[in-house]
Amino acid sequence: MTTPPPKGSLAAVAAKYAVGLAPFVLVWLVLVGWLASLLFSRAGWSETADEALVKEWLEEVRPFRKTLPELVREYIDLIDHAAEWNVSAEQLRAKRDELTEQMRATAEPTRAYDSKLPGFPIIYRLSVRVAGANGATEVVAWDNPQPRPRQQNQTRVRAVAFDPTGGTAGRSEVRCEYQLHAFNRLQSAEEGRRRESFIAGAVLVAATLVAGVFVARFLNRELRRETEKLRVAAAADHRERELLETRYAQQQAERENEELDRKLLHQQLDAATLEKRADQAEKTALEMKSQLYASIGIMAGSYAHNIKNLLVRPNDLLNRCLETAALPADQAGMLTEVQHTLGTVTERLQQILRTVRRDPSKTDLTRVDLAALARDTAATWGDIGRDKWKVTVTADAPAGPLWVEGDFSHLQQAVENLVFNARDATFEMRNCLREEARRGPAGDRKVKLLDAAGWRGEVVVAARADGDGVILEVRDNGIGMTAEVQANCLTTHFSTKRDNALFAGFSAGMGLGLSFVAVVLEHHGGELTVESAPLHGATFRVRFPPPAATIPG
Amino acid sequence: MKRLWWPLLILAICLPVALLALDVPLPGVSSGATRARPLAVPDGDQELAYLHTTTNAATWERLVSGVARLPSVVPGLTVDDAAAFQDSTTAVPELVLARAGHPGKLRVRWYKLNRDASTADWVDALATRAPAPLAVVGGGSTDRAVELARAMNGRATWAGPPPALFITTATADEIQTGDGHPRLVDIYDNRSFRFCFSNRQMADAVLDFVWATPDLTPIDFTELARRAACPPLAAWPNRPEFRPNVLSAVWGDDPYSVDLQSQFGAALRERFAARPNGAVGYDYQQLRMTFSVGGFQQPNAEEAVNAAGIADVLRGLPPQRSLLVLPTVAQPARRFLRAVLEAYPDAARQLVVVTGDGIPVNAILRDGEFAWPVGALNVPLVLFTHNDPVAWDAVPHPSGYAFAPPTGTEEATHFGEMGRVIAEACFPTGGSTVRDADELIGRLHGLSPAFFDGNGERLGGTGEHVVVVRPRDHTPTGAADLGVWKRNGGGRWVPVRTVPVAGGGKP
Repeated sequence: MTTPPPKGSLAAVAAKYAVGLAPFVLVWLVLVGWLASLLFSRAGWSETADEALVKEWLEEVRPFRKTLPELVREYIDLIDHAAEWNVSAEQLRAKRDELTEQMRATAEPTRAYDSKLPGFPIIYRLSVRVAGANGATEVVAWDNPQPRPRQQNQTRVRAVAFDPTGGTAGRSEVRCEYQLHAFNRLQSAEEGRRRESFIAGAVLVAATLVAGVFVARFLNRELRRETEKLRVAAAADHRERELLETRYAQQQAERENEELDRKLLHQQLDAATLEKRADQAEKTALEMKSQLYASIGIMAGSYAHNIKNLLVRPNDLLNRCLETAALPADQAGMLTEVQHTLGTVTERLQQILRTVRRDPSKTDLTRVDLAALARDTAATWGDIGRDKWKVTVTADAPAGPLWVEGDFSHLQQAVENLVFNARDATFEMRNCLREEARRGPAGDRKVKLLDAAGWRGEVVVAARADGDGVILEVRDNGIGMTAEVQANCLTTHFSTKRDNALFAGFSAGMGLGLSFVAVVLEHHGGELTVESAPLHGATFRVRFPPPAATIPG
Repeated sequence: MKRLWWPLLILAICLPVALLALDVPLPGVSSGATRARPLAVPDGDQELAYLHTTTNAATWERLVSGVARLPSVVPGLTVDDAAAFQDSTTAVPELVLARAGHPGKLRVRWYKLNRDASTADWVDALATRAPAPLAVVGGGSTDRAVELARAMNGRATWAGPPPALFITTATADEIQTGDGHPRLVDIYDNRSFRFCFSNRQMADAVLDFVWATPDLTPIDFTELARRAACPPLAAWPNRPEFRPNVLSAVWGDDPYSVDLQSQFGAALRERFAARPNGAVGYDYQQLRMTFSVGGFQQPNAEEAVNAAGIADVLRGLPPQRSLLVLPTVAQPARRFLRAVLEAYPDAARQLVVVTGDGIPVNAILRDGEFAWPVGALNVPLVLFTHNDPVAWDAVPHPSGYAFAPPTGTEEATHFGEMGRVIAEACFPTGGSTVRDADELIGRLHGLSPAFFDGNGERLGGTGEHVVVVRPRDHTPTGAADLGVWKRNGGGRWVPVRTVPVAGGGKP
């Protein structure tokens, strides 16, 4: 097994060219062969024409009524059907004689006009060869008594032979030896043409080969040039492609940036939308709060107005009583204290009426001293707490002022709401202790019930400075809050006291106190934080920003 | 498969070229043998297929000449000869006849007989083509007519009614060279029509003319001298004891020769049997040759022997004029007569040669220098023609096909007469165009005046002519007179024209 030549070698290239050019070479060889055949046939045309002429003459001439082939066929029929037709030897001999006479009569005119007519052949021998039924070959011939040309001229005597029976090839043959030309210039010219054709053919082949070599060299050179051009073009294309790829990458990055920008804008838009929705929700909440406060104000105003009206008669009665000189001094002192208290209540109701007639979100900002507010609150509710709530209300504030910017009445109400909320937490703590004592062992129950009854709530209202700001705290030791309660304690209408019988009759449990505190503090910029744990009290711490200098005191 | 596409394409291109270069015949491309391939017949047209040998274009030309002159005879008939003579000898010449008021055309086509296309081949080819021809025209000689009739009779099926057979110049009454002796027109029975006269009609006409012409009638020269001495006795018949001597040759391979010799014998027997003057009969000697093939001048071996035998017979006879019946065509007749005269020159004075239509007038008038030199063949010769052989035009014929001397006109006028009869049957005046062969056969049988008898044989008395060549002297260079006679309505022979023939053969 031979190994193929290595790729790229001369042999491999030659083999590739040979395979590629094979169809062309094949077609060229066939065409050139055909043309050469035609040229040589043309060069020997006269001989072909002579043979065709003589053959047609022998096939078609009728010295009497029949042609030579017809007589041959009749003779073959006689031989083949000799037994069937009872053909005698005499009949066969007569038919052979007829064949001989036919050939003689056919050739007779050529003898009579020997060398006198153009294109008139000299027939030297006409013969018919017939294969008999037994395979023996029989020849019937007519020979011209005229001597044949001498040896050196015998090439001029040609022979044409054909099967006269057509369908039984090989069974018989008519053969004619003849000379057709005395001085055949055409033959001479054809021999010249043959030589010319041979030379022309050789020149054609050689020229084709040379042309092939030139074409191959030309193609090879052009191939190299084209290859170099293609290489340069490919390099340029490559560079251009790289450039385009870079541009494409840049464009891709720009598109990605644009996409990111677009996404960012979209997110911003979403954020703006969310913010807008939040604002809208906040606005809605504020409107709801305003409506709530308005309702609370209306309700509180109504209550305050009724209470104030109710206090008119007692004050009038007290004044009449004090205007009576007959009162003992201690009674007069007590009535004076009552009168003073009713005056305070009336003033407070007047403040409430002023407050509730305004929107909590519409503050009337002034400089407020939180330290004073803490002390006043503790003083206001200290006695009541001690006597009625069993809660110690104390203030933890410095002596000097702690100024914040705010609405005094709103802040006062907010602080009181925180104090009330702390008070309620101590109530629940006491109640819890009592329940715990009730559920405890019977031996300790009484002691624990007494301890629970003696337990006192503590509420501290503290204020202190914290950097530039001020911190206000309301601390208690009440029931405390779970995390869930811490998370919802500022929500409007959220309450843990609504169904608690402990607060029945105190108008508590509506869930409005701390939410009011949250709204007020929000409008004052205060930050409210709640620290609490169940059973461990709670601390509500509010940090106020420092007041602006332009705010009036 | 894709990989084989280009190699297969190259092979498909190269293979035919290579085969052509190697002279391998390709179907549909190479010009093979000229087989029998009939032309198509356009719708509405009819065809007459003329079968004739390819080497005899002169006969076709005479057929065209005779038919092309018909428009002057048949009113309204047109003959288109545009395709009658073609450049290629292998093409099929065609003559187209049409008549005003008749749809369709009649196409006469020459289908050539050659080595590759025999009579049987053409008949087979015509039988399988639709439509079948109206008629097949042929039978230029008896053997050809027999071959054609047998081929047509052997065809069981045709694409339509079997065509009629129109025999042109085959004259044999009976075919006596094979088994049985059927009549020629009976081979293809009831559908054959012979447009020429039969051998018997020719023998009767020639013998009638001979015995009606004193200087041709067999006679005892002693009696002739007596009459010369006493002219009133010239009208007297031969002496009763004189027995005319009749010599006859026959070529056994030629059914025409065999039948014509037979018909001459029968006519002679009938003639002498019917003689009312108690003539005792005639002496008859027949010489037989096996075949007719021979050279142009020199007789074949049997002819030479028999010619010498005739010379011996003549030498042994008392001085008298004898009849030599030569029932053959020109070439054997010429060879044989030349051999007789060479063997016995005085035979020129003692013989009157009678024959049928085998020796054409053209052989004497036009080609006499070599075909029938009257100086060398200086024997009175009586022959038969089916029409006037010297019907030359006095003025140019409008068809452009001229009848002019020295070419005889009997063949052209015979084809013209055939054409007239056929045209009037196909396009009858006041009738419709013929539809098929059956209708054509019926019309031919019903022609008025009648042209054929019930068997399709041409009726006697419809144009027989006799030609007599009389040497003026009996020298090898002597001239002769060629006289043409025809029968009139009363059965008498009347001269038509006498044309001198020079000693060399020229008129």
